[in-house]
Amino acid sequence: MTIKRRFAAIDLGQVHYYTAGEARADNGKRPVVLMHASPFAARTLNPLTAALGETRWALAPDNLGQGDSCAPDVDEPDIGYFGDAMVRFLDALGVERADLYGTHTGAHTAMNVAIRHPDRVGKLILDGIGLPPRSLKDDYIVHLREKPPYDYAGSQYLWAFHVIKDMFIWFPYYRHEAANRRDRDVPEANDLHDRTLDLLKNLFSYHKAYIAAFDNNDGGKRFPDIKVPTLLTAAEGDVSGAAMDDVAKMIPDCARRAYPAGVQPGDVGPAAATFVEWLDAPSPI
Amino acid sequence: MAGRAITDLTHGFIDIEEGQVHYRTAGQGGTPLVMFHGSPGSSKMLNRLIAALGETRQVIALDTMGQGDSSSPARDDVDMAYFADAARRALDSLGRFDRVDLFGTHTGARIATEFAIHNAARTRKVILDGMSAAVTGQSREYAATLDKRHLVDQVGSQFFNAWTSLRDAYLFYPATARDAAHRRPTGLPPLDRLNDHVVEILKGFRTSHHAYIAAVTYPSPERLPLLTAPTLAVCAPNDVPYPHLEGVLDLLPNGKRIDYPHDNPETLATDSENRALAKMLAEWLDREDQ
Repeated sequence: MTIKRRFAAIDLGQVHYYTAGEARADNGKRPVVLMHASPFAARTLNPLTAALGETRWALAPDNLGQGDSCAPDVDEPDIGYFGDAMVRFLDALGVERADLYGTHTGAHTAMNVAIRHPDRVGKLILDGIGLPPRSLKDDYIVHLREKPPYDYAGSQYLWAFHVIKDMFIWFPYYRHEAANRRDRDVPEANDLHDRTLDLLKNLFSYHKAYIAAFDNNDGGKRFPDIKVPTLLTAAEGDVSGAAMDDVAKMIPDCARRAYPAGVQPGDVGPAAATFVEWLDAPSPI
Repeated sequence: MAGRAITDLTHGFIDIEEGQVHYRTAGQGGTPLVMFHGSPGSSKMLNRLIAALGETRQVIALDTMGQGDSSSPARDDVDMAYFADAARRALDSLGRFDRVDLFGTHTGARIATEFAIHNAARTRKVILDGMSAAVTGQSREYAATLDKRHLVDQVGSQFFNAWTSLRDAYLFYPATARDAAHRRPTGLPPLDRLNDHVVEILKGFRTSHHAYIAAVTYPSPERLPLLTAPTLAVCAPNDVPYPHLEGVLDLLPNGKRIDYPHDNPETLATDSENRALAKMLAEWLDREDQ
């Protein structure tokens, strides 16, 4: 399925998005909107967007201040700010009701939209959302508030490249000790390049959605407010996977699936098939 | 540098056969002005000139295939006629553009020339900034170095490469001759502009050499005599092709020049210099007596 890049105009500026599949196809399937993780961009979801676009209209917008979307117009937006932007994005495209898929930061944004606008959301897929302790969240937030280096020596380039690479090597990515090692492959050179570039485009705004996600949902307190059918999922090896049992108990209408691999080219098949099967299953009334 | 700045102009994508063409646009009315940027870079480098010219007319600034946010060229062995043809197909897909003015700088000047030659009936006036009147041995040598500069790796060497190469392009000509004799008389632009430019270069890092090589080997002595539309040749005095300006005029059947005391609009010119240049260009475009 061919992916196209587009812009949608909202009051703040332009939202950049990837799209696949037929717009408003009369096949009884709602559009699906995919919301990406920080500090990345919707580009990282292209394989999944293309796979879901085989059966429905798939839209993957860049969060405000990430990828190629305009930046937030406030210093410390909360997750509701990003949820509102997504609703205005849906308005701009004339989408009244959609299924939502969100991963990490995107899961927080998608959950926010589902809780505050249940009439706009059919089903919700939350990928990689856990129950991190407040101490860890605060640690992340302190770190994310630090300004990146930015100078004529080009320090920002070395910084951005290693932030991205470290995401795959450490957890948290800024703690470089053996105890913080993660068992994940570093992306191949082209993917690493594109992810670094997306961070470089947004040196002074990438952290806003990231912080908003960490500042959201302490102790899972928002989970009971989700009133739409929800699929809780995580890739094998995802750091949030350990909390899935506890999270599932807190979401009223919750199904669970794990998928064996990531959502990168080559291994997106099982994840896409899992999501499509659940999205297409009739909902209990 | 802030995200807000990139949305001051409206962005869009146009679908063509081999992918998508990204463009920046401003303004309405008048004869549409189509703008082509230099290499390596994108239409972002022209954003201040786009905004200033957009005050008096519709401006559409295309990212060249393989650069900025436009897709890769359809194939590897492309020439300037290909880039002009991709631009023509993009405009045809965007709407009715029966009559356009063209502005091109450096690589963009070659694209504008080819566009005008192949689409003479729809080209009203042409502005060429930083055009060259010859293909030198140095150009061919430079093209050979460009052909090796498009690989990315897992140690991220391309980031250091792009940053250092652009800095050196301000300091030396050719950028690879790093001695006092080859020092250019310029400083570096403000950090935000330098940084934004490098980010745009990195977007096209793997593919921008196609247009760049086609530009530095472009046979302007053979092609410029075929450009019949009224053409304005301009160049900033401290820009590398400035010594070519008279030679370019000799080759143009219908050429004029104006001198502007400012730096290159994509790189060192200040905001007010860009506005002043836009005013001069707009006056020439709107003049009846050509």
